[in-house]
Amino acid sequence: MAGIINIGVSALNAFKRQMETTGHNIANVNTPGYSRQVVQFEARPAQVSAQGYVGSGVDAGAVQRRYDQFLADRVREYSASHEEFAVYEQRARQIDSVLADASAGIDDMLQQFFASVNDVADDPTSIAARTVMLDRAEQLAGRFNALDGWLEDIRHHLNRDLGNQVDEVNEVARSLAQVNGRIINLAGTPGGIPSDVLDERDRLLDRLSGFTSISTVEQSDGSMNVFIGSGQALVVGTTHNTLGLVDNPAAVDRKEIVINQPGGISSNVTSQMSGGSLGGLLRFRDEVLDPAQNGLGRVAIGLVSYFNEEHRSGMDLDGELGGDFFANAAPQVLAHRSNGAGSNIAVALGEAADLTGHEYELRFDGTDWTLTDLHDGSTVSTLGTGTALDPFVADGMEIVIGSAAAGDSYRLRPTRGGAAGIGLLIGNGRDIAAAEPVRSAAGSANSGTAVMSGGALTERNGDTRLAAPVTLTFNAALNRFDISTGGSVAYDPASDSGSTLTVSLANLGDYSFTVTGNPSNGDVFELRDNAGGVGDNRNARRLADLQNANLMIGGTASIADTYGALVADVATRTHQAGSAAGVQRHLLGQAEAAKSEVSGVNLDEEAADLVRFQQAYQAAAQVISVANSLFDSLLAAVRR
Amino acid sequence: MRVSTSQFFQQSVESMLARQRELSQTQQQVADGKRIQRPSDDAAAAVRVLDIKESVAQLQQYQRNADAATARLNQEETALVGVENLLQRVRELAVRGASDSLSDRDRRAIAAEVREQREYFLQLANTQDANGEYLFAGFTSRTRPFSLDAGGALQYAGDQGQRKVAIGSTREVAVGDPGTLFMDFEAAAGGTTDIGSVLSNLIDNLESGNGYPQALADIDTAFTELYNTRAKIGARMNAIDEQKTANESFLLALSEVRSSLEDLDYAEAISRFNQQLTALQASQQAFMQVQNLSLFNFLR
Repeated sequence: MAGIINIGVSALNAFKRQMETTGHNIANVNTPGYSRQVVQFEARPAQVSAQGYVGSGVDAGAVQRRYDQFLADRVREYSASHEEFAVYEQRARQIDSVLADASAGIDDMLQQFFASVNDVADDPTSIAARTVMLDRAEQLAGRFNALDGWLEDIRHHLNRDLGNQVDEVNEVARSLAQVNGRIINLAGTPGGIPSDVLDERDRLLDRLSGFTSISTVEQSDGSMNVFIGSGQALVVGTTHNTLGLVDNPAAVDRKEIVINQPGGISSNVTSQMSGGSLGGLLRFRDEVLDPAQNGLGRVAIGLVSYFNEEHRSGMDLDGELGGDFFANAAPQVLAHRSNGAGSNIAVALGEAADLTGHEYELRFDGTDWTLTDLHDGSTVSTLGTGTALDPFVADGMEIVIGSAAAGDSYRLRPTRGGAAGIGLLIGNGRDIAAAEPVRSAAGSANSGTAVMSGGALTERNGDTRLAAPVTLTFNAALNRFDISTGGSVAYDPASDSGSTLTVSLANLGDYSFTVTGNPSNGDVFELRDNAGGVGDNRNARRLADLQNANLMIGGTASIADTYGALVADVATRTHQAGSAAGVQRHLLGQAEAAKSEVSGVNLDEEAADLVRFQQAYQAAAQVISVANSLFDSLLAAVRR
Repeated sequence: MRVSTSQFFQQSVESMLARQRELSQTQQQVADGKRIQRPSDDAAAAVRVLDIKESVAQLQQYQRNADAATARLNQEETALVGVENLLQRVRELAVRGASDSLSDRDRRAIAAEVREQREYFLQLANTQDANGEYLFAGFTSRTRPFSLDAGGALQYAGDQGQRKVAIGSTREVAVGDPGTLFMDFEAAAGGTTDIGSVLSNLIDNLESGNGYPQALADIDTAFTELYNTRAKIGARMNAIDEQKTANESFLLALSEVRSSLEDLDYAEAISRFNQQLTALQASQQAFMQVQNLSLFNFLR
């Protein structure tokens, strides 16, 4: 009887334990990261008897946690990838939708500006047309400024978000270390490690992989070591390292992530951080934000450089030589904070066609200077020696070394400030240089058929208008025009008709013009100062032609094409990130489904279990009741 | 395969959210009439559209330039026709004045009219456009180009500059001619003469009897110069018309390409919208029906 009662009681206890567990599962059906718990029943060892071995009941064994480490790791892996692409796409989308927008983007405004230049070319003496051109120029510059300001805003928020997320990672790391501690303490105890504590650690790890990709290694004492980046330890047992956000030693607006390790060592892990929202933000910065701002700056600088150059070779309504039309931004030169105290260099804009829109590092090892393109890490070969008369020339920059110490380095951003720095310098429509400073006239006694046409100052190198006319006399015997100020320019009517000739005008520049036809010996053409030539539109035409000229990217793209390339780049990256995020979302969904297949709670299943164990409990209770009545029967049998 | 309850709900919700996302995007397209909402929807097409917009803007600019050029050339032509008519009248007067049967008084009367015509010629030669620019002054278009010197010869204070405007990507057209067209043409008596001198000499001849037998020849030479210039103007205006027509065809072609890239196919979009609407409604209804099912409903 005792045996039967014991068996019954063991059953009651076991089923009660199971129902508690089932109740716990039901209560936690919506708890994120909860792993379903199941009680393992173990049959008690059999007792030996004359009839053989007889069972002695059931024990509730350990509460088993339904969990698969591999599945959980996979969920974290895809979660990190998905988060990275999702964050990247979300930020990139902001830039993408603005760049091509008609009211915020550049291309419409650029067209309107050049349309106004054309209108001045149609009607150079019209003050109204000139005023409109200045208005449009101002609007265009303003549009560049606004776009750049907006990109700066995005950068500001990015830096702030990096800071916040680094703080959160540190929070989670601290909590993980604490949980590890609790787990180590509980590891040896008879109850084992509670499933819920393990679930808590899992939740912390899940949260962490939302910020960055992690890898985990379980230790024999039950603690979990967590590694980030390319293997830097974040949590080791009960200790943790912290991440920090610091300024780049050269560029204070560029934040870098460091990991503070024991012994006061701080290593920069920015380039190793991948996955999660930190990875997404860093990649977005490197692949979209920086190139967008630098690319926009390149468009602005290209426009300003070539427009100014052309404008300066013209003459305005008051007969003055053209000045700079737009203000330009100088290249940004950022010195590493550990540079020598007196070290300095100067970087000026060279040929805008050679600008790449990349950022550079210039480093001095004591003897040689090395220029590295930070876009791909390649070394850029330079011409020149770095002196003021022979600067280093590369990729649109001209670098002059002031003084240097070994180990000096500089971060160069030639186009970064371009869009913020563009501005209109001309305030009065009369100052627009629509005319050329020189005009030509054929001698009235000319008997040949030659015609001189066009004419433009193509290279200005002085500030003095032509004081006295320069005469070109045709020398038929030598097939050339003799220049009254000295020298000559070759012209063979048989082969050179229609070609462009150039004459150097002292203290002004080179003047180019076209000669067609057959001059007679002694025919003269005169180049004179274009005084009063307010109806001349030649320079305005040349300014208008800049719109289509392939000025940029080594002479292969126009200003608008360069902007178009920027739009395309951002658009493609945004699209790719969106597609990748979609794929990762799908993979993540599958991984989560696989994980919850093992660890998730199904209410119907729990309900069925409740019914099952309730019945079992009732049956076990009945066993005790039967044992009791057996005992009563026995007692009744031996009562007097 | 086990499906946990929370997974089940999550998937259903995800599914509904996805349907909503798609529906919302289609709705946006239909509202805008544009297939491409932002460049990342179709990067290649978006950049192509930017290119096309630029080309269209350029062509429209060329059309504007062409119209401005035509207006100016019309003005020039009107002035030159005026000078031609003037010379025609002067020719008649010269013929009449050469008749032997006229008295001195008659000749003086004719001379007076030639004087009038000479004044009128100066006005025409100094024609200004609506902006105040002199048509026949070359580049120095704010400086009055023509005057007569003491001897009655035409003085030209302008230059030989000729303004050109672009009417196509590789085509430019001159919108004027320098005042030298009234100057420096061959005189029948040798050397060069100008219209002012011709008129002045004729006046002298009529008033003072100084011989001017080459009067008719010189007037005819002047006519030839004017005809030549008018022919050039005519040719330019033809060129402008041709180019404008070509530009129009380019514009049409470009706008068709742009439309094919950018515009929404409404028939396809609306049927897609209806499909997605149905899908969303179906997923919502399915969710409602299934989420009620639970074994706990049957446990008393």
